[in-house]
Amino acid sequence: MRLPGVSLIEGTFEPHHMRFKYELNDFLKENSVQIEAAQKLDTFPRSLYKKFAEAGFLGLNFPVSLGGRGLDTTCCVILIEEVAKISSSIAGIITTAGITGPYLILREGSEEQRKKYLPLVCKGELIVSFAITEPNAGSDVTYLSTYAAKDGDFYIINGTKTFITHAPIADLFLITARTGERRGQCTVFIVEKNTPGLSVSEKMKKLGWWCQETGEVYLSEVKVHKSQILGAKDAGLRVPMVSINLTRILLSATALGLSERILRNALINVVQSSPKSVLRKQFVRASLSRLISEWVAVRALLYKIAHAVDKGTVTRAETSILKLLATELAKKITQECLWMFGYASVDKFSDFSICYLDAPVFTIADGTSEIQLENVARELGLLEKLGQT
Amino acid sequence: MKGVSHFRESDIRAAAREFVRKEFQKVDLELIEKGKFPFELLKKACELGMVGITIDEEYGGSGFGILEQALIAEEFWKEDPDLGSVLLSAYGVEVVQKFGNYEQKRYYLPKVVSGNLIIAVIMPDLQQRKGFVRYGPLGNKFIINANCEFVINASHADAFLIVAEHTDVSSCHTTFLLPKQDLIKVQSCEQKLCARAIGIDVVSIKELPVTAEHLIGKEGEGSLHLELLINLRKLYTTAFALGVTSACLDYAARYVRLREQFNMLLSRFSLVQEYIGEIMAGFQLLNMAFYGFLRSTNSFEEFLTPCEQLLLINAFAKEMAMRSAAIALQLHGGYGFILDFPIEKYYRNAQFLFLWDGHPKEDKIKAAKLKLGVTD
Repeated sequence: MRLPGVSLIEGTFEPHHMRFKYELNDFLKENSVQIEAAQKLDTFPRSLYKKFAEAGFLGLNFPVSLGGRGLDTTCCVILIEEVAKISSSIAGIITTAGITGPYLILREGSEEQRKKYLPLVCKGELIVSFAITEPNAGSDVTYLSTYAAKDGDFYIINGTKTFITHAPIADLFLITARTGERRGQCTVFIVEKNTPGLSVSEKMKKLGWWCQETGEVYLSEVKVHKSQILGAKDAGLRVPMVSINLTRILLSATALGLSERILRNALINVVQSSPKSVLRKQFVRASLSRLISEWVAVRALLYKIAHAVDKGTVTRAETSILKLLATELAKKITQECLWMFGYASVDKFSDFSICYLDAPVFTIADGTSEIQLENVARELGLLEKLGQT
Repeated sequence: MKGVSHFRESDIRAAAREFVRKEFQKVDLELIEKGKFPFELLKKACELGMVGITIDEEYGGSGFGILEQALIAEEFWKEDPDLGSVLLSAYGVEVVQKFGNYEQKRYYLPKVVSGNLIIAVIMPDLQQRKGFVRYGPLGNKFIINANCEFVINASHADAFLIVAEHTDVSSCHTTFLLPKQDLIKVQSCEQKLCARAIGIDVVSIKELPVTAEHLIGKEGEGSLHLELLINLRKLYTTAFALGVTSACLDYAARYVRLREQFNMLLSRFSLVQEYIGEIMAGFQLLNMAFYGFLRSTNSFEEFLTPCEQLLLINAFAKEMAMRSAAIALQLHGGYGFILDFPIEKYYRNAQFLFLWDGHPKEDKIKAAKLKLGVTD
């Protein structure tokens, strides 16, 4: 079933985008059963992740010299959206471990750091975990309490990080810690997992995104050499935020991929599985048409923004608008459509239930919807008089 | 509570609240998640007269009204919707009390209210999604065939209340009450999204012969029973939704008063206040409308036909439960997404109300049809 808006987007693709999409779809067709099965477990799918690596789908936008593919943001969006059509949690894993986490090293790392870590990331042999959130610093990351005290050529880091994606299984942590008294005065450190003083919690039990292991990171007198600083010292939130636009775009792609999966299944279900009496209900037809209309519009924005990223013309507010609309829509679609699948939705492991349970994280992770609204307000100049720019 | 008829609403609510707070925490939730039925909890709730509360004292019940039943249902779901669903073990027993003969009432009702017998209700899916429940005469017997989803507790049932449609006469329904039979096949879902303490099952029946002694009332009277069952379902789901809304309001309010971001308590952000205000508005309206409606409705007679007011309150309640759960989860941020915090269970279970009882839009459309005098 071809949904509206597909040609609208594919019409703007360059030949390499289509070639990439065909290549990806062949891979996903071959591995969809494994992907569907992996999302139902609560462990990181190592063998599947390795398959993505071997097929060249990690570090997609990294230079070829570092083991990547040198592809653009549109290809990253295609990758994540297509994977999310099968499983949003696997799409989340590919995003965070294979693209956005290590993207910080690509953008801010020294030549040595890049060469040391990024080829391993692309081979699926190194899982990077980006650790910024703390028990008391969620939406407000300027309020960090993890502190890195200078000690000669070393830094001694103490603190706790929470809700850290891949923490229980990561090989490398990118720890944002305060390096001065001034608020927001912070530095990112590359800390390898075996560094004395670094420990991780058991994985947290979550509502959804089960296979993406999340946990806490404890830092007690963790000693790291200054050469492990990522980017400049005291660079503030500029370094950890370097990947925020890309992260939000790819989370939007995940949300829209999941939305497509639900909508497509809902259509198939009401057309094929339900008695005609369901289709005779105008409100059912109208509900689906309305949700698909919104999905087409937001998806068009996704690809427009992906294209703009590569041209360097996108603003933070624009990605915030995308993230707000895409993630809220995904939540709405899962809440509205679940009942259409009838009894199948009772099973916690049904496709539809998994989507319903995964979706709430979209409007929380990588900046809540409320933060996105403030970003838009900021660009509109609404915060200027309050002295917040 | 049993046998005392002068209890005030607040006493009933307080008794239910005390019970759930004390007893729910003793239940092993991991076993419940794997599909184990909490027989012990059901027994305890029965001992205090909280299950089948509307059953006459003569049959071991408390002889209370629908209002009291709603209060208990709200408190049960407010504490924990997965476990609170155990109340549905007596769903539909009112049909037996109102329309059953003396023998049926004497045999079944005391066992149900003491937790020694579970009756599962098999009825046509009025959302017309799937399935059928049909009967036809064969000599002096009846033959039942069915394929029915969303049957509560079929896997734990000792008896079945079956409302079936005549094979040849459309909209002619007849109700049968019979003990568990081999020809009634049950398929269960073990790891459920919602209402985890009870069975939400699929039942298939092939050529099951039943006799006139199994009839509830007379042949052809099933439409009345069906209407009562639908209305009872709406009463339960409205009370459950109220419980979700109330719990989400409490948890969200508590969290935002403690959580600080940007050097300020979340409770001081006006967007947060707006969210909390939205749940409050929903809760207040729902509370007034639902209990106001129940106070003015004294007997089951009014639930034997479609009830416009109940449909509308129910639609609003289900929407509000979903909205409140989504808001509360969002306000909790990452903490809302982990199972250590209770919000996730309200979010999961808000969908039970849609899945079991239908989409709120269906209820609004049904109410509009009554208003407009339009039939299918």
